[in-house]
Amino acid sequence: MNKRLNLLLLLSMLITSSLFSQEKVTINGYIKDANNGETLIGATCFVKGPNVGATSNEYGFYSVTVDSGTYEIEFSYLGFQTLNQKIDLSISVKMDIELLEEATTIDEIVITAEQEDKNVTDVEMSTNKLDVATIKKMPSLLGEVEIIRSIQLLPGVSSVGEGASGFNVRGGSIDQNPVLLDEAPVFNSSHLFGFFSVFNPDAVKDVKLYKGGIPSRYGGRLSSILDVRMKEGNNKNLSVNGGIGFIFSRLAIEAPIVKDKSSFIIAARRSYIDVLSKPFLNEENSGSALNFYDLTLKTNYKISEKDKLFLSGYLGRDNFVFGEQAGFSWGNSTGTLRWNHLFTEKLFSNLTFYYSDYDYTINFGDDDRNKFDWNARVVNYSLKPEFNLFLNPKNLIRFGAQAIVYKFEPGNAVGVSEGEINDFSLDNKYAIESSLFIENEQDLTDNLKVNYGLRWSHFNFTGKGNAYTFADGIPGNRKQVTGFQYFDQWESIQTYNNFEPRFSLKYQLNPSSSLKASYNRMTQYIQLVSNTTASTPVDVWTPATNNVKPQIADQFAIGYFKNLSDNMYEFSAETYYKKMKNIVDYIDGADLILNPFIEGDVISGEGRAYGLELYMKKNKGDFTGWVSYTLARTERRIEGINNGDWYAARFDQTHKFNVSGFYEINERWSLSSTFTLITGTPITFPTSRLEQQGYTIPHNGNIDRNNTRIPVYHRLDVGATLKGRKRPGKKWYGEWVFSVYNLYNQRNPFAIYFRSEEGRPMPLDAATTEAVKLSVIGSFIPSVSYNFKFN
Amino acid sequence: MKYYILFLSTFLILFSSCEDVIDVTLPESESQIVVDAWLTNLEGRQVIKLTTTQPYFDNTLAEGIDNAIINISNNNGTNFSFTSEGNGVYTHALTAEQTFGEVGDEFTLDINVNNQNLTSTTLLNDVPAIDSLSQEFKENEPFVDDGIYCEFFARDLLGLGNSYWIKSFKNDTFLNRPSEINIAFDASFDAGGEVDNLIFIPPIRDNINPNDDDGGRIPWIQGDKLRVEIHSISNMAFSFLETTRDQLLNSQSGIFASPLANTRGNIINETNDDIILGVFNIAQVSSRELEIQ
Repeated sequence: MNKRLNLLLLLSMLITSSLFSQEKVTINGYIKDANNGETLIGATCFVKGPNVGATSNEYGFYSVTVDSGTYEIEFSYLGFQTLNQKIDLSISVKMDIELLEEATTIDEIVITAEQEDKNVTDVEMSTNKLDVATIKKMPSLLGEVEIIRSIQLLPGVSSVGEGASGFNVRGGSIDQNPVLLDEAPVFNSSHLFGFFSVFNPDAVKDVKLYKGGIPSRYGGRLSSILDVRMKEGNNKNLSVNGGIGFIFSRLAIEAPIVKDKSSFIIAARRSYIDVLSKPFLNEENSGSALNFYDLTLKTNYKISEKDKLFLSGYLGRDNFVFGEQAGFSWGNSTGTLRWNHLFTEKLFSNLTFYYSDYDYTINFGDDDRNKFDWNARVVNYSLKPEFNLFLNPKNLIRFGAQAIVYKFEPGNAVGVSEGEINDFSLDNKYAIESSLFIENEQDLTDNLKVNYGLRWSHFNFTGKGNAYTFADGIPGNRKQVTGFQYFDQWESIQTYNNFEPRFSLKYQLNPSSSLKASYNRMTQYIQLVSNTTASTPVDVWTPATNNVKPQIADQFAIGYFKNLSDNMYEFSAETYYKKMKNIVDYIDGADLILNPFIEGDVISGEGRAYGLELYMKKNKGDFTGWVSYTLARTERRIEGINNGDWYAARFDQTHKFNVSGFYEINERWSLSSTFTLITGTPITFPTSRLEQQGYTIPHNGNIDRNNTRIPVYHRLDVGATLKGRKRPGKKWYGEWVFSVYNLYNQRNPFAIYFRSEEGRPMPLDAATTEAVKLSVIGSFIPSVSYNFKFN
Repeated sequence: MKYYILFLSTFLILFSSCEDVIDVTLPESESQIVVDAWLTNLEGRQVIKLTTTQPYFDNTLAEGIDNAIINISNNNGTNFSFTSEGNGVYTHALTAEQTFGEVGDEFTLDINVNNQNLTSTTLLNDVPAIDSLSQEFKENEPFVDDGIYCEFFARDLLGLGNSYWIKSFKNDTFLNRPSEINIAFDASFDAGGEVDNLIFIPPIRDNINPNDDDGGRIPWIQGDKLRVEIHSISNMAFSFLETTRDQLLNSQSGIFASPLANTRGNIINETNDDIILGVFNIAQVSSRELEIQ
């Protein structure tokens, strides 16, 4: 109650203070890329004299309020030429700014020596922004530009291994990181398991990862936010991008529909292993298909100076079909409709409606009379109004709300046996998640900047369907159902609500260094049910229920940020501590597929994660790149696992070291390289074996979890890019990208398994048991791809 | 229910994934007593084995315990004592006149070994008859070589929660590879399907064919003799076999393998906290034979 009162008080104070101020004028507008009209996220508008400024929001909008007068105003953005303009601000002005990319120098523009030092001066910490141009330069597996794999080179981000989908952030499991594509969550961000991500690099504008200090406008998951924003589409002229690689061919077309008013981008990718292999398949396999594709679409329309509409969509699918009866496919689709409206020059609003859907289907069988068809799905719809109030140069207030409606279809399965149809389908589950949030980014003094906010989240697990109750039983054993009750559609079964305070602070030590600290509480009401090493596409999402409580995390982080040599080098050191509650795990031998009593196999406990992240980046010069090092520990304590003691989580990695380097040899040739060295992940080894009915079964006599580690992982990748010659008036521009993944042919372990030697076990003979190391990538993988651009 | 996982992992062959047999040092644990008491209600020699666990890489036969006293009693008062034959083997011969009992009877196993009293109970469940065995010549089907393959047809008994172990024999040799472990819960894969009184579904129906090392089907040859038995097992014994199969096939699941899980048995130690491994189950058995034409 107190918190709410304080917040109200604060709000009213802020509003009154603005009423008393006089002769204030506001400059506002959009900051864009001069080349293609794309709005720039996080660009800076800085008013010299009073030395105040603002950063453009997710839609490129900025607004600064100052006393009336004439000012020199500076607009800047990393990788773009800074623009200085003298502007007479006797009345409020709306001014859209276009910045030119650094490479395309034009004489009339004044280029100042002012450099980008945002990482030091901004209140945000524990965030990483990767621009697509950098991601495109990295050497990659089979030459495919990879967003999810690229962020794994950042400190605090890891993965259980090659080919595993998703990523882990600061000790969180993969389902604790929402991957938002234009705000819509993409439930499975991988093609072909975890080898390629679903994002078409040609359609992506901006990728930002929040690992900590998460502002209150984001919520719903514990560990991070991966915010992927799509391009709006070139509104100056037609532009075509594309590429031909080993795995995908891709094409993106963007163009204005009505110049400076409306534009679109459409981008598609398709794999063609199946097309290439078709001539080699024999007759019995000719019905087979193996492909994956995605289609990304976005269009925008400027209704008036104050209103802008955006419509974006994504559709992607993986198909594996074997003959007529057997197949497996999965895919996401999302759609986002956004309406930007400017109420006043200081109050920007956005209303988002999104839809997101993930589903998979599996079929096998002999014919129509004998088959098994199985599918599952999660669908959600959300409405999210959000307001940015650029109150004065010292206060930027964001507030809003969100409502999400979920429908989970955990499994629709129909078996047909000799023509008898049997339905194994599970009940659908329904839930409504709602939240309210407010935050203020405030300059308290010249050196001290804070962002404080509060999020209130509410979750309603509803019918229709049966809600089960379970007996307590022995921890670690299957809980037995004791009863059930039927609930009607939208009838509440269980509700939860949580207050999530958020706070971050920056103290500027001197112009080139700062100290930052943050605290955030996050609540997560839905989770991915998975107990395999790598998450599979058939893992289902499930809500918090009357038996499974929502997960809650508190994270504290402090950091030191320093820029050296005129911002040529960026350095940061951060340390974090994260405490998690109601972390979900599963009993040994849990049955997670098509099990209506799945909650009986779920157990929960606490988690803790702490670590140190060091990051050094060189921003400028022929040679650029970064070094990152993470020292971390991630543990769980769950009654019924590991004798109730703390144990290292499956993705715990003590040391993680990455180097990424880029070198421009000349105008045409550039080189890139990444090196990774990671402590092996924990794994459970057996201690002994037992014999039963002639089977020799591995057994862990100490009942401990993750009692050893697989060997260290290290890998070097290299790449080279040959750019086509640039000539004035030339419309076609191409580049060749050569890369070698795993250059020195390391067979890195993914896991170690135990098995009996092959061959039919002979009665009265002892089995020969052995340990087997699985390497997902067993050799070096060279590749060539060609990218082109047509303007 | 790991069929789908095996299905998935076949795609990983696309990449240059590889396996190497390696030397690793394993943690140690104290050895534990293992009771292997999967009995049938059929006339003849019934065997209970009493062994201990051994280090995982100790490639010798499990050591038997020979100084135990083993007795089974029916809830109607009949006792069946087992006599030691050495190497941990204890036997009792059932006669046609005196089997363990009738469907629905409850049995208690009592073992006294090294001053510990071990006990367990189980119910004798009913089993459906096998209606038929069929053979078919398959050609041009994905993933299988051309040849003769068999299926069995039986209908799950009325009521939820019946579990079965379907054992298949080729020329009187039990098909004992881990990939040949064929179990059913109410004619389907596992609990929770809530299907009842149904003809056993594929692939349970056709998992009576012999497999090779990679889990591929081996066709039958004319003159081969196929025998299929359905054993009624407890739900606990079903879970035990399910975990066993998943663990023994885990190396085939690649990146989708599950963490090591211990099997859970039903033998209780009444004397101290030492965990006793293994299963006590008495099965009713139905069977049918086919000579391949």
